[in-house]
Amino acid sequence: MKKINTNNALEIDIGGLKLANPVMTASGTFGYTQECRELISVSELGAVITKSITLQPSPGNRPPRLWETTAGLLNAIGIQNEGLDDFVHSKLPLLKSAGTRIVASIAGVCRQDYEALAKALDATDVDAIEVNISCPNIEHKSPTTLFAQDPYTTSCIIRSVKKQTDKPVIAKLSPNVTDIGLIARAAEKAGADAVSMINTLIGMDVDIARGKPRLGNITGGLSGPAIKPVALAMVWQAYHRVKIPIIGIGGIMSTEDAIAFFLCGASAVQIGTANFVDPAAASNIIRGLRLYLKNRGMKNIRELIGQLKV
Amino acid sequence: MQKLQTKAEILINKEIAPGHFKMALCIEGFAGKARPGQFLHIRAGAGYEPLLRRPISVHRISDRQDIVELLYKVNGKGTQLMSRRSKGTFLDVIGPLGNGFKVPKGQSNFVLIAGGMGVAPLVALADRLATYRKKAITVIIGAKDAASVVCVKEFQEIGAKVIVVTEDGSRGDRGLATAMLEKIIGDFDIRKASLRAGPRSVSDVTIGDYAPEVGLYACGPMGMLASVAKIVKPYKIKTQGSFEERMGCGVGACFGCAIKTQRGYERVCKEGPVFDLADIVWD
Ligand SMILES: Cc1cc2nc3c(=O)[nH]c(=O)nc-3n(C[C@H](O)[C@H](O)[C@H](O)COP(=O)(O)OP(=O)(O)OC[C@H]3O[C@@H](n4cnc5c(N)ncnc54)[C@H](O)[C@@H]3O)c2cc1C
Ligand SMILES: Cc1cc2nc3c(=O)[nH]c(=O)nc-3n(C[C@H](O)[C@H](O)[C@H](O)COP(=O)(O)O)c2cc1C
Ligand code: FES
Repeated sequence: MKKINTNNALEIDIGGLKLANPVMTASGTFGYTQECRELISVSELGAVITKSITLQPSPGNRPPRLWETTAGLLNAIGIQNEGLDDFVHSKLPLLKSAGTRIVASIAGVCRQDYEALAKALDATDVDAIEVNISCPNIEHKSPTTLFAQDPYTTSCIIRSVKKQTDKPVIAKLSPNVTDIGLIARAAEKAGADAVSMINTLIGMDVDIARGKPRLGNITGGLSGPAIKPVALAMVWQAYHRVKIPIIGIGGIMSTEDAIAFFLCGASAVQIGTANFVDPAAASNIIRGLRLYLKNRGMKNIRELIGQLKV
Repeated sequence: MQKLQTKAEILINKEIAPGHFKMALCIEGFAGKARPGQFLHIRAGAGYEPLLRRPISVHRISDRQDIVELLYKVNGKGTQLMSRRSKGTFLDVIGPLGNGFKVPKGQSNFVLIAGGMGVAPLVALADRLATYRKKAITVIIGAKDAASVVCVKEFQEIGAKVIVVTEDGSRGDRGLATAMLEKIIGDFDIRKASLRAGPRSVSDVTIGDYAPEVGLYACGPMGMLASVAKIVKPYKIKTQGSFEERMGCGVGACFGCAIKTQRGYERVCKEGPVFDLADIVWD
């Protein structure tokens, strides 16, 4: 494990998850690092959030799984992954050799799935657990489409996960709700050490020539620059409702985008779709933030958090 | 870091047929890196419209020079932007990506079948095959009309026998490339005895009983690849096809480019784009 420099202006503690810098790669957009290792230096990253892991191997949704929209991307991958055992035995050792913090993202169709995943991961050396209760591409045993659409189911799952692990638990929230503040509060009350927001917005596109949907799964999740304004508003709304750290996600492509999230109240950011456009995006943002703080004489990134002038 | 994300200088970008462009790029350190069937992931413009990179096959590669040629058809926003980029400007590229074509030992008779822009990677393959001794290369090019037939000269210069088929009959035979493939395979069967004399040209070769010596390669739309798979099935000829799916990352990280195989969903950008046709599950 890389030693964290205490003089580092970018160093931050996210509910017990200590990071050398507040820039992570978002779940589902960075694989398990080996795919990207040939292109960028992974050890520079604050953390890598893995593709969501399910208990059993999951085949994913039928193709086509991607469709590009105006400054955005629709995806309906459906959490294709090889399951918990494969993750622990073959993916994790490799991940740990990447020289950065590893946050395991978990997903399930019922509370028991999350419990089992958290219990198993607690025994491993992942640095934290991100609970994906907001994936629009899998079906849940829940009255709402997503667990994160209801404060009660959100709190049930987070509480169960917390009981299984001492590792920092991050609740990943959905923008497909009426009041994000309410859900963030529910997660906080249930014991979440941080919330990350946002997951993708439910969306679809249509091929009018064939009269068919563009995605095999009909609907998918929208990400990329197109969703940044939505994500910023939600981070800002949640910032006034919870005390736990917020990790901002959604359309962050540049240092400027990241700064906007910090100003709105994020303590860290995750980079998703930008990795596809430019694998060096996260590294560039880390460098950009360092420069920004230095040029303004700021000693720590914390001085920026929530400083939006309204 | 084996793969490159780098700036590639455009040396040539010219229209060689209506809507078809040939682009030559100079990529520092690229010599000897790419194999036929691999692709580059290209950022067409600098902004977010279009947002994603575009996958384009390596069309001609040199083992000694840092130059790679691409052949592309203007399809939508991305390729249109590419077509407007002028000589001397730089493109952001990642590559070479994916697994290329394999040439199993013992093969000496090659049949390449291309539908539309499927010719693009097959020229690189033919270039490579031409370096083998005692080979025979037959290329079937299928296109919509005469104006979309490209690369005939390139294949001929390599020493391949070229058969052109167009859907409207405006050049070569009228019909589909796959119908021509069926005819050729039948032809091979009749002449099987002559193989023992040593294969020299395509008409001396049998496919049926000597399948291991034949390398069949296909690149084109999904429908065409499905039909090739059906045609070759009774002959047990191992056939490699290059597939297309919409891509996000291009490096295997997002699982966006899934294709259904006997082993489950695999990634066109990582396990592919070249797959054994027998491994694909056709829906
Ligand atoms: C491995 C591979 C190699 C390829 N090689 C060549 C080549 O050598 N020459 C060539 O002309 N074309 C090639 N293609 C197809 C080429 O990538 C598409 O024509 C191009 O991406 C279309 O982009 P556009 O912006 O012009 O069209 P748009 O329709 O605006 O594209 C919108 C979105 O769809 C994607 N897309 C559209 N068509 C395709 C497609 N057929 N395959 C994958 N993604 C697609 C784009 O990447 C983008 O995400 C290849 C595709 C793949 C997967
Ligand atoms: C192809 C793709 C796959 C994703 N898979 C997951 C996933 O498995 N788990 C998860 O929590 N989020 C997943 N996401 C959502 C991202 O982590 C992120 O929340 C979202 O894309 C918004 O950020 P962005 O605009 O920076 O991409 C995925 C996103 C994309 C584009
Ligand atoms: S495009 Fe991301 S896995 Fe193939």
